[in-house]
Amino acid sequence: MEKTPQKCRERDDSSLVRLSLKNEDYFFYLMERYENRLLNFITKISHINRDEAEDVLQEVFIKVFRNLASFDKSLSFSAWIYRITRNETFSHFRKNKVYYNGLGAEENEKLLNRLKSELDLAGELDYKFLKENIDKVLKRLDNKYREVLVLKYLEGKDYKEIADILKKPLGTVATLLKRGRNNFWEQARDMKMKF
Amino acid sequence: MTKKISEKIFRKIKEDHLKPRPRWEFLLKDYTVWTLFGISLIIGGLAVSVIFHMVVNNDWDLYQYVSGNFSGFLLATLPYFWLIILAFFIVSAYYNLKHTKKGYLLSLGKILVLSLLISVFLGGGLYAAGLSEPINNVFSRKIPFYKETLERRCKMWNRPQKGLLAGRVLEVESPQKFYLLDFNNKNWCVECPQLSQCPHIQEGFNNSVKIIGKTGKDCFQARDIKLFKTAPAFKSEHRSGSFKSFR
Repeated sequence: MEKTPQKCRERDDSSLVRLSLKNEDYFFYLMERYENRLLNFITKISHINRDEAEDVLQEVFIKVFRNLASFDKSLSFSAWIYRITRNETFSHFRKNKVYYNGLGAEENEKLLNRLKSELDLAGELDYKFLKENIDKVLKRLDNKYREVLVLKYLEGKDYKEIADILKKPLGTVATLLKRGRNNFWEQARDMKMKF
Repeated sequence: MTKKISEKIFRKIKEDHLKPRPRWEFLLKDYTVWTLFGISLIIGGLAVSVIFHMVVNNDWDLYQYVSGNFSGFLLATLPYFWLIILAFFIVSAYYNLKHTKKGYLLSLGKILVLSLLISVFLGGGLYAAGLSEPINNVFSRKIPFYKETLERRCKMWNRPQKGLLAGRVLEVESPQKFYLLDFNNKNWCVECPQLSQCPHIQEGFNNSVKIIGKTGKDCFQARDIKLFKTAPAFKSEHRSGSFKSFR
């Protein structure tokens, strides 16, 4: 490696992938770049405990490294690595029968505010109630709706990236998002009525 | 926590001498999926060409003789074997295209319509090139189950009391008289009183024909004779029989 760590950190993903295929030392900078983001993503879609999430992430990094030559340059590396992370997380779900437990308080508020601005339905619902019960609402949602809401409103991914991560057509992503939002508000209303 | 995992994995990569899998493995998988997609479309095209052949050569103008009503005739003569083959390979094309790198971007409907259109286009080409009948013949010779399916269809014509008769022309005695082996392996003498109504006798030698007429005293009296293009092909050993064509 002829470059200094700082120079390596300035390189874009594609160039680091290309270099990692020749020299694995460059792969460290890719892992370093995505480590926190992916760890947060795993906990947001699964909320397995931190140790378990780290185990999943280790599997992800090994898998990404082993399959680096299959990376399609027409795809963003971010979408590709999120896709592998998402698949590994759900595979971990299935193997260990882990169920979704909820988001952290900060993420709860972020998700709620973004959903509120997207869809003006929150008026009917007490914001305080939603903030306190968002985990329960999300827990009631199907995985397919929860993950798409997390990708859109917490990870800030656009439709194309979500389509690449979930390996679904753009139209399906739009439908999932619409249904996910509607489902979220329906479940919230339903819960409110039961209180 | 930061970088903890990166460092751990980096050490593991170094210690275990892990290497990325070679690019050719992924390329091989990609090419295999695309090849299977192509093969599925080609077989779908073959199926479509034979479906065209069966539909075009169906007895649309004679359905009232063969079956009581049009819907019954349609159900009895649909080429189910090829429709199932077509459906199977369209699904196979869908599966393979979905597993290409960008296949996930296409919806189920788009892939099915695209695959069907390509198969129809290919099938139309094969039909126009005159390959559908040979394909049908090859299948009827090589696949006993398919031959039975065609024979069941042919047996709808084995109702001499109702004026329908079909089978292979074994010997042509004169321009107005020939011998026929029907699909129940029964020999028949067939007469054609009006020559103009029986233009296919010579063509029909050693081939299958379908006849409309009535049973007579000694011979079946033909009123109309047509080549039976959708009948199963005869094995080559039957062609060199002791019967001769009248010339």
